[in-house]
Amino acid sequence: MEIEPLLQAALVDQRAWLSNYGCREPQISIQPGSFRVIEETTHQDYPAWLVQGTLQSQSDVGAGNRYGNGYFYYRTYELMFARFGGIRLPPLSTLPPVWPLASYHPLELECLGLFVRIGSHNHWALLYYCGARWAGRDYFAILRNEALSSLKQVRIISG
Amino acid sequence: MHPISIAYITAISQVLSLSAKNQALNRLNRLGLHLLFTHIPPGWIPGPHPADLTPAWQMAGLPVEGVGYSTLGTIGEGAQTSTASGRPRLTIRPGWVAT
Repeated sequence: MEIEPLLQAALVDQRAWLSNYGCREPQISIQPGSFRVIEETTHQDYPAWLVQGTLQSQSDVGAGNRYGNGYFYYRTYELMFARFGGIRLPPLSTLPPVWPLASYHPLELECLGLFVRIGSHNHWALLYYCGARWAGRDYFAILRNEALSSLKQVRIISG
Repeated sequence: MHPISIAYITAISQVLSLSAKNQALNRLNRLGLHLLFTHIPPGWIPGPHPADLTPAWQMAGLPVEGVGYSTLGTIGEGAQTSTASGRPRLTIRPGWVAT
């Protein structure tokens, strides 16, 4: 199983996520050599691979931990997801500022993924969870087991 | 901002969101695959939202068709948080991929 092509799809996902949050120059890259298969397994009888690795990216919640010190480019999740649908919305920054826009804080995302091959080589479910390391806390470590349990209980439904 | 303006933005955004969600559901139907989240840990936000990522993948030059579910889970300092509260978030973003 080649991880790299599947990771490219994940990178685009993260880039789209940041972009839809209003980040004009989203940064996302794989920490070289970090991704590895840590377990070959099955998921609902489909072959699956548990992988772990590190991405270098940016936070979508601003440089600070307080609302007033961060940014919230789109007021609602609904507006943000509308952008996923290809609907181009004017940047709110063109409106009178309600909140100051902060820089998109760089951080490391530790990722745990379950890559499940469905039926053929070209059909995949990519289940992954990312935890940020920043502000002196390792959120990945805190919730790894909980996330792994949640991942393994995602059901894949055909039809 | 005036309350009427907020209500207007909210109404418009809900319509746009519904359109995006329908697009994602159509894509899932086309692929013949869905995901069901059977276990959401306490304190996590139970709000996986399907989004059609096919245009983003294709713009990046990847021959990929699929849907991403965002976002599931937010826990900071042991308490439930939201994006607006500005705390680090944990996410699960499953996506269907067909090349």
